[in-house]
Amino acid sequence: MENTQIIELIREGQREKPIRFLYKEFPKIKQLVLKEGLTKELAEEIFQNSLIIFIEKVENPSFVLSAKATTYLYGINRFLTKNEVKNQKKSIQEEWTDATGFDDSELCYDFEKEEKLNRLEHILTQVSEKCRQIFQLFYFEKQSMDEIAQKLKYSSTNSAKTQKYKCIEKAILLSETSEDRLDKTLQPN
Amino acid sequence: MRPSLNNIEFIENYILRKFDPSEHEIARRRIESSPALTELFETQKDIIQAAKRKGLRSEIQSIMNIGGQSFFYRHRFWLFGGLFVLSVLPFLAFYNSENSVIKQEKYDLIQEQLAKNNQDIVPWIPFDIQFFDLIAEKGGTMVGKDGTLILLAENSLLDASGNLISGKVQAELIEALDWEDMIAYNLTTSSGGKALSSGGMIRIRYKQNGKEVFVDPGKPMHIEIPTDDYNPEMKVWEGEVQGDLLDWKNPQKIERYLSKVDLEYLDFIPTGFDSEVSALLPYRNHRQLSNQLVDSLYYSISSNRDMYADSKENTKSFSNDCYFNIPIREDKRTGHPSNQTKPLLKGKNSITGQIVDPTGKPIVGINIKLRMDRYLENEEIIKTDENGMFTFHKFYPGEVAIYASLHSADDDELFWKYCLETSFVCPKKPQNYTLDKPLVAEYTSMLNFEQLSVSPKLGGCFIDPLSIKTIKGNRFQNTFIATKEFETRLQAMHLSKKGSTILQIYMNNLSEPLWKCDQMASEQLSGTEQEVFEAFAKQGLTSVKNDGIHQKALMAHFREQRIIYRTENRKRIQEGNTKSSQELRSLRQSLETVLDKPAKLAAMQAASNGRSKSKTNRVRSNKSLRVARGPSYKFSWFSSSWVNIDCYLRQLGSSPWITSITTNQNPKKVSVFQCIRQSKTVLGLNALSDSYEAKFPKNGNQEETFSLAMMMKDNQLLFDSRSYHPSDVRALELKLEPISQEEFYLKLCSLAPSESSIAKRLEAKQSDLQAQENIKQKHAPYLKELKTARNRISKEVVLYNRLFDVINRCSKDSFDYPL
Repeated sequence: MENTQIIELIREGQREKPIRFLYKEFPKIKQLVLKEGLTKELAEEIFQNSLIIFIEKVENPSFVLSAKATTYLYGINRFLTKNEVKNQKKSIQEEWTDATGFDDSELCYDFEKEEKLNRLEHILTQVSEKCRQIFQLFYFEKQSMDEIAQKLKYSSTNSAKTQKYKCIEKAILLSETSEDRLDKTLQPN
Repeated sequence: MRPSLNNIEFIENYILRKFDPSEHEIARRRIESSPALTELFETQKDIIQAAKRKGLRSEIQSIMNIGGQSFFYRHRFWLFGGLFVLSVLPFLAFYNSENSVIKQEKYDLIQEQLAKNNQDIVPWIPFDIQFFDLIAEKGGTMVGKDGTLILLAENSLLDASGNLISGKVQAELIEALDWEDMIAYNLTTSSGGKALSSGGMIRIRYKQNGKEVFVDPGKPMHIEIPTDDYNPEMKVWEGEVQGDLLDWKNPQKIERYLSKVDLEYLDFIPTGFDSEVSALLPYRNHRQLSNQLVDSLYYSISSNRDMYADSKENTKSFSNDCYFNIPIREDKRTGHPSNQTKPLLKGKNSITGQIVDPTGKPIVGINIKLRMDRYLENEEIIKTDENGMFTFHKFYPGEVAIYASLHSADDDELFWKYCLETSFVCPKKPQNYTLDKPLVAEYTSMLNFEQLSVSPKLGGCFIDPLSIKTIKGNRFQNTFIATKEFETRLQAMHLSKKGSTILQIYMNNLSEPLWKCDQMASEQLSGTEQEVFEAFAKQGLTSVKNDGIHQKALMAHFREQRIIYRTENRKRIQEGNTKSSQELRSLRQSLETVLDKPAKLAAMQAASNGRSKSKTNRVRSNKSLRVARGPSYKFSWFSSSWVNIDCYLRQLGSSPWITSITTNQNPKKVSVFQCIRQSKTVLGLNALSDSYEAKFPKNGNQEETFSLAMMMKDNQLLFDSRSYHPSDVRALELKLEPISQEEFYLKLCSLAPSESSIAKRLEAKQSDLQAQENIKQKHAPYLKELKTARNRISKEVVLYNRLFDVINRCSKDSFDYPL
C-alpha cells in the first residue's frame, strides 16, 4: 500500500485497511521488542500505542509523512521500546535497521502529555457504562447528539447533552483525585 | 444547568467549533483571560483525545485479534458450521429488525413526500423543465442551465415502497435562480409570514417509466447552487404548499467545509498574466499561448530563480513536473473534451513520442508511464524502443499525463518523481482531423524551462513566483490550499502589496480553519484590502473535508470543467489578441449602448433564459462552469420538494410607509405580489376587504420596489405591474390586462434590467474588453522595443521588465479586487 493511499484512507476515517496493512509488520517488530528483553504483552501494547500515535499524526492535515509509512512505524516502535527499556534501566540493542532514516525528534513526543493521556484513558474506564457509551459514540464515532439520544433512549437531545456534560465533569473529578494521589506518592514522608 | 456544567458546555462548544467566527474569537479571549477556564479547557481537550484513543485502541485490538489469529481460529465459523448457524440466528433476527426499522423510516419519508407532491404550486407560465437521462445503478453528475450542480450517488434511488430500483431513470430539474423565474413560477419568498431574501430555488425529481422514484434519504444528493454574492447567513429551506403559495420550512445550514480540487487545475498565477504574455508573442518559437510557457515565464521572474536553477542542475534536467496535458477525444460539436465515461476503442487514437538526450541521441529502454486521470489510477507503463520511441494506443477520455523514469517500473510513487522534464507539444489539430486518425505528440526540446537569461530584479511587491510553485506541490493536496476558495484568496493576495506576508499567514496555519486565517490576514491589512479579507472571514469556511460518497464524482467534475475553462479562456485571449485596439473599443462601446437600453437588456435576458421566440439575441455563456470556478451554496438533499437558499430579510415593515393597492378585478381571484429586486424577494400580499397592503424594509434600494398583480381568467393570463418609491405613493391601482406568456416574461425582465444576470454578464465582458484594450495600449511601446531589439538578450530584458511590472504592486495604488 502506498503512503498516499494510507494517508487518504485514515483521513477519511476508513482505518481498517491501513491498520491491517501496518499490522503485517507486527511479528517482526515483536521479535525486536522481545530481543530487548521486554515481554510479549509489552510488545503488543507498544505496537498498539505506535499505531495510535501514527494515526493521530496522519489525521492532522498539515502532517507530512517524510518516509515510508512502515519505516515511520518502525521508528515509533523503536522510540517507544527505547523508552520502556530506559524505564527498566537497560540499554537498547542496535538491531532496528528498518527504522534507519527515522529521526526521533520528528515525533515531537511529549512525555508529560502522553503520561496524562494514558491516565485519562484509564479513568475513562472508571466512569459509568452510559458515559462510556456517550464518549465512544460522540467523540470516536462522531455521531450527532440527536442520534445518540435516540440510541441510548434519552427523552430528548438536551437531556442527552446534559448527561454528556455530567460525564465530562465526572471524568474531570476522577482525574483530579488521581492527580492528588499521584502528588501524594511523589511527596516525601 | 448547574454553573459548573455551563462552563463545561461552553468549553465543549469552543473545542468543537460550534460558535460562529466572531463568537469563537470572544470565547477564546474569555478562556485565555481566566486561569480556571484555561485549565478546564486543557483537561477537556485531553479527555476528548483520550476518549478518541480509547475508541481507536479497541478498534485496533479487534482488527489485531481477527487478523492475528491462527487459521483454525479464522475459519472456526466453517469448522463449526452447524453451531454457527444456530448461534447466529438470534443475531440475524436482531439485524433484520434493525434493518426493517430503517426501511420503515425510509418508507415513511417517501410517503410524506408523495403526500406533499400531491399539492403543487401552479406557475403563471409553464416550468422550464430540464431532463437528464441516468442509470439508477450508476447515479450521475448533472449541471443545470443556470449552473446548479447535482450529484446523485450510485444505487441511491428507491421506489414508492422504499425498494432499491435499477435501470434507466429520468431526472427533472427546474431552476429558478433568476428573479423573473421566481415570479413567473409563482415562487414566493416568505416563511411563516416573515420575508426572506433568496439566493435561488430549484426542484429536482426522478421518474422511471413515468412513475416518481425517490432519493434514498441515507444517500442524499450533493447539490451546489452558484452565487455571485455569497451570503453566509443563507440557509437551505424546504418548500411546502400552503393554499396557492409556497411556505418555506425546516431551515438547514449550508455546508461550510471545503471540497478538494486537484491542485493541478487551480489557477494560482495572477489573473491576467496569461493575457499579458499572449500580447507579447511571438517569443522564441512560441507563437501560441501554452500553459508551460506562461508557467515558466512566471516562475522565471522569481528573484530566487538562480538558486532554483542551481538545484535543477543537480538533478540534470529531471524533475517531477514533466507531464503534459492534452484533452483526448474532442466532442465534434462543441470542441470540448467529451465527458462520456465509455473507454475509446483500442487503437483508434495513439500518442507517439521520442525520448532523446540533450545531444539528440535516443534513450532506449526508459520507462514511460501514461496516466489517464491522475486520481482514478488508469495507467499504463511501457518502455521506449530501440529508437527511443514510445506509443500509447488505449485512452480513456480525460486529462492525460506522461511521466518518464530511469528507474525500474516500481509501483512506488517515489521513483516516478524523477521524470524527464521535456516539453511535449501536441501538434495543432489538422483541419481534416477525425477521431479515427492518430493524434501524435512530438518531442520538441530538452530545455528545462523557457527561462529568461537576464538577471532578476531584486525587491518588488509581489508573491515570489517560487512560493507559488512550492504550494502547487503534491504535499498540499490535502490542505485548504487545494480548494477553489483558497484560489480566490490567493488572487486577492496577488493584488495586495502585502501579498507575501499574507500568504505566509495561510502557510503557517494550514491546520487552522480557513476563516481563522482570513481573520489573521485581515488584521494585517487596512482599507479595502482589509474589507475583502474580513468578508472572506465572515463566510466562516472551515477545513477540507471528504465529500463522502460524492468525492470521486465531484473531483472529476471540477477537473473536467476546469479543463474546459482553460481551453475557453485561451481561446478568448487569442481572439482578443487578433483584434486591434479600435476593434476592441468599438466592441466595448456597442456593449455600453446595450447596457444603456433597458428594453434591449430585458429582451436579451428573456432570450438568454429561453423565453423568447427569436433566438438571435441569445448571449452564449458557459454557466456549467459557475460552481467549478466561483462561490456556491453547498448542501445535502434528498427531498423532491422545492428547495430554496434563503435568509431572513431584516426589518421588513420597519419603514413608516404602507402602500395600499387596489385592482380592477375581483380581489378574491387576483394574486398581488410585492417584490424587491435587490434582495430577490417575492411576497404574496394578503387581501384586506378590497385592497392589499404593502410594507417595506427600512434600508435597501427602494427604487427597485414593485407591485405586481396576476390572475388567470379562462386560461388567459392577466397582468399589471408598477414600480414606485414607497415614500411617494400611499395608494395605487393596478389595471390587469390580458397578456401573452412571452410578453409577460419580457415585462418581468424589464422590471429592473440593470440588475439582471445578463447585465452582470455583459458588464463582466465589458471590463474584460477594457482590460484587453489596456494591455494593448501598455504593450505598444514594449512591442516596438522587442521589434528593434538587436539580440536575444536585449529582447529578454524587454520581456522581463514588462512581466515584472505586471506582477509588481509597489507602484500600483489601487486594490481593484471586486468586492
